[in-house]
Amino acid sequence: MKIGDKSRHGFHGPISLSMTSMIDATFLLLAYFIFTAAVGTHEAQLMADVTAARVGRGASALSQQVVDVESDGVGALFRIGSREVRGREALAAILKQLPRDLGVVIRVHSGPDVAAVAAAMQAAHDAGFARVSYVAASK
Amino acid sequence: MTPMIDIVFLLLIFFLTTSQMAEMAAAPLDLPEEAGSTEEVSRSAGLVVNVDAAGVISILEQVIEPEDLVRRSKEVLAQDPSAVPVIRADRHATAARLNAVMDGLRSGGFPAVRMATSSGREGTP
Repeated sequence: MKIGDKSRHGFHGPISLSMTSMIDATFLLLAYFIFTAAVGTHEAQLMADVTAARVGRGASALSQQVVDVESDGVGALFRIGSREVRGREALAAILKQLPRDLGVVIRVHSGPDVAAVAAAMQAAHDAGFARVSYVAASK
Repeated sequence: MTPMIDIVFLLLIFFLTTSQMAEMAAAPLDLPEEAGSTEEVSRSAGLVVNVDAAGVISILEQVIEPEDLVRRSKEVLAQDPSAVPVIRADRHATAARLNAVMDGLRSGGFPAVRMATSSGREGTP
């Protein structure tokens, strides 16, 4: 065949490759990864176990710590036993003083917004609790 | 060959970028502004549940009711038993809707969930 003949007996001179397409592709890939990396770093995650609402009202030394996330007329309110605090830092400060072996239960009432729930979960994480459980408060 | 290679790579980049954009644009939510957890969670999500500020629950742009989450959870778990779903809830949504989502996922068999936060800005006190 003509094509086969050409490949067998064809021209064997120095091969020159155009670099233009490779440079184009490299820059496009670079732009793509810069773009996706910049967008991807904005989202983080907080992990929690989901359990049924069977946590008692009180907390003893042998039970998990329970943080009630509620809301009143002013805003989000965190309750640990008889103590009431507002704000993630204040909650984390209290949680740091408590034993962490059994974990903490975030019991969420229907009043507050999601930001308050996330703040409570973040406070538990900041206080060093490895196990955080999410419980929807019974109505 | 140069123009063809150019075109092929341009198409490849176009589809990579647009698929990423489509995923991001699926649910523009104002997530809670928290730093999140530092440890890496390597398990796949399997299910990403969006809750907007009005409390509307959606998966892949499809609005669903909390009751449907049980069925969807079971389907996902049947395919990937180690999946940990991600909840992307708007920070202004009520916790009542979040509770409904959690109940649906728990009833569907998920033992744990991941809650998405926005780590770009420091959290509110």
